[in-house]
Amino acid sequence: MPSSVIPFRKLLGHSASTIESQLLFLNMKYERYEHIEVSTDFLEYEFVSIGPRGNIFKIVQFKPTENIEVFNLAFGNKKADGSLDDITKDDNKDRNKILATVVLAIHLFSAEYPTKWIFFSGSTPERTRLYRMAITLNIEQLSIDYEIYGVLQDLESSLVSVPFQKGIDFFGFLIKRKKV
Amino acid sequence: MKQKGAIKTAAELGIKLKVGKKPSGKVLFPEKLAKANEMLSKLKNPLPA
Repeated sequence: MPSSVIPFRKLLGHSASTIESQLLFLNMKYERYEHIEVSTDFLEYEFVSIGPRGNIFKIVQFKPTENIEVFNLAFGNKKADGSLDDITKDDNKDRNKILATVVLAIHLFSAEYPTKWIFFSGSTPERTRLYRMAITLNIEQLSIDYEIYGVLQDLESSLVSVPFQKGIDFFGFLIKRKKV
Repeated sequence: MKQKGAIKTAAELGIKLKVGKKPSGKVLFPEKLAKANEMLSKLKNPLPA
């Protein structure tokens, strides 16, 4: 691995100035797929996962929800027959690289739609926990550019959104680019 | 300061985007969108402005 490439998880622990942290997180070549095909409306992003299981076509889609301020983020595999799958575990040994690429898609989408919230959750509770862990590991850097909220159940069993905190088992997440 | 667009943002990250794919025009993951709509409709508090 080139010395300039940093595994996504190893971004934890850097304590630099605000500008340096932003550069570290976004500009440095940490592991991600960078050959991305983007739709003209910047709502769909396609890339190829490469690993022991071969080439797996991935697609990320941002879709407006019934709340006009919120887009839903979903991603999964684009199979040879054209069908889509967001459940199957690929085991292509590049989970963190895929997550980093999805983060890149988030950053590009929010550059085009800076006033919109992005909602996402896992297709399984395990995947939601994975996303929570990824946010937790990188919360300092992410918070520079994004408002980050989690959705949880309150004492009355209603759903509420609260600022993201470590250690809480959220059902889903809401993020939005901070105003410049 | 005006927000940078995606192409300029990608360029600053050293990434050459291939923009030109025709939007699919459909919901690719309908169950995920339905789940999102259900969750968002149940939110008790409004999202911050």
